[in-house]
Amino acid sequence: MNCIEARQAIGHLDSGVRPEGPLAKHLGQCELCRQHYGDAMLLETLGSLKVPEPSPQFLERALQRASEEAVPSPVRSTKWRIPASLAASFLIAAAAMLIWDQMPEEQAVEIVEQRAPAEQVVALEAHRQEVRIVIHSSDEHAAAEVSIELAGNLELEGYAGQQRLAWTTSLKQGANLLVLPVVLHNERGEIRVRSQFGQGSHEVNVQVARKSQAGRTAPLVEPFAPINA
Amino acid sequence: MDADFELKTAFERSTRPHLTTLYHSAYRLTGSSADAEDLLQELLFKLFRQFDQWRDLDNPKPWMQRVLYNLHVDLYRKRRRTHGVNERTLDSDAQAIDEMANPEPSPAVKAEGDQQQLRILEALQALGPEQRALVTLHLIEGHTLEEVSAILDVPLGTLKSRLHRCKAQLKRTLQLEPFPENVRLA
Ligand SMILES: [Zn+2]
Repeated sequence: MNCIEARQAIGHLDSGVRPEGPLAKHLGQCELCRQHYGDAMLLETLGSLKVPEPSPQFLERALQRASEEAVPSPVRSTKWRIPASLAASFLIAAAAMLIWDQMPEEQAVEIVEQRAPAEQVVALEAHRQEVRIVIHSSDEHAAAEVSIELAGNLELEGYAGQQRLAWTTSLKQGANLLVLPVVLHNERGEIRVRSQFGQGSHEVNVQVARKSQAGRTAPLVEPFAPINA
Repeated sequence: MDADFELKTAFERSTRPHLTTLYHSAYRLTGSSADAEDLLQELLFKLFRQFDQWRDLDNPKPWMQRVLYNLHVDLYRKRRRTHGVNERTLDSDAQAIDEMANPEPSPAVKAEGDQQQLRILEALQALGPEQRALVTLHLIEGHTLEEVSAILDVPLGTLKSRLHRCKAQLKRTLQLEPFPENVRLA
């Protein structure tokens, strides 16, 4: 058997049948045909991998979530470096920090190191102020999910009437800053920030109150040291 | 609101025709339905955020594939770093195979088919993410190496040598050599 005949014979082999007779003899002597035989079997084997069909419900839901939860431009442009994070062993130190517009020396910072849901109180001097959430991630994450839920008479500037925002973002290793332009229409409100990646999730609740209600908060503390697992 | 609605509609119109194919690729890359769904969801989030960049392309599919493969490589690395090697994927293989539409073969035939499926998935699993992407695109989905080079943004020469090694490894793990080594050498 020559190479041309061998290639034809390989093409006619039934799947799963080992070569015999003249073909087997030729393959035993010819490296190139052996190569060809292996390639043909490999293609056939890989081609037999069955792939399930996606569930139509999943596809609909996935499309829906993509356009609803990926937050488009307005707020992101301000600085949503959202870090969300974390995998199963997330270790995060989250700090909710209130920036006093005109009085930087009076910044109030409190740090929450959390492995369980944590609570944080911030006092708003003004009707509209930025609340910053710092999330330390021990690792880099390409696709972390972050969601924000608002309770009480709180809104995020640019998102009037929305009680819930969620989107996917990347987290860099180290400190990631999330700046929330909060508008408080009432005396008190609450922001719950949740981040999720893989099977890990992490949550921080920030109680927001008008300055008169909350009193002065703790002195500035820094830097925010990441917690290690 | 109207603008949002239009954006959403345009996004769905552009992506919907490709979802099934992309899901199939995601399954071949990850080896389980659950992971394929996660990967596809991440892909859609990303595609939506980048919609401006690709919505006017005549043929957006290569763009989508490129994002899919890049995400796959990123997520694979992350998962590996955080939970060891693909625990979850291996756990869900058996279930994924159960989920496949199988037109009622006899139990014996079915078991044998499942074994073969598992062997293929395990052989693919043993490859690195880039290798697996190459095998999926070229050997399974039939893209030319030039196309793969464009999708993965890897030079052709690198792909060729990578392919050579992948094939050798797969043939070994799947035992596709014509004879056992000792017989051939005799
Ligand atoms: Zn030959």
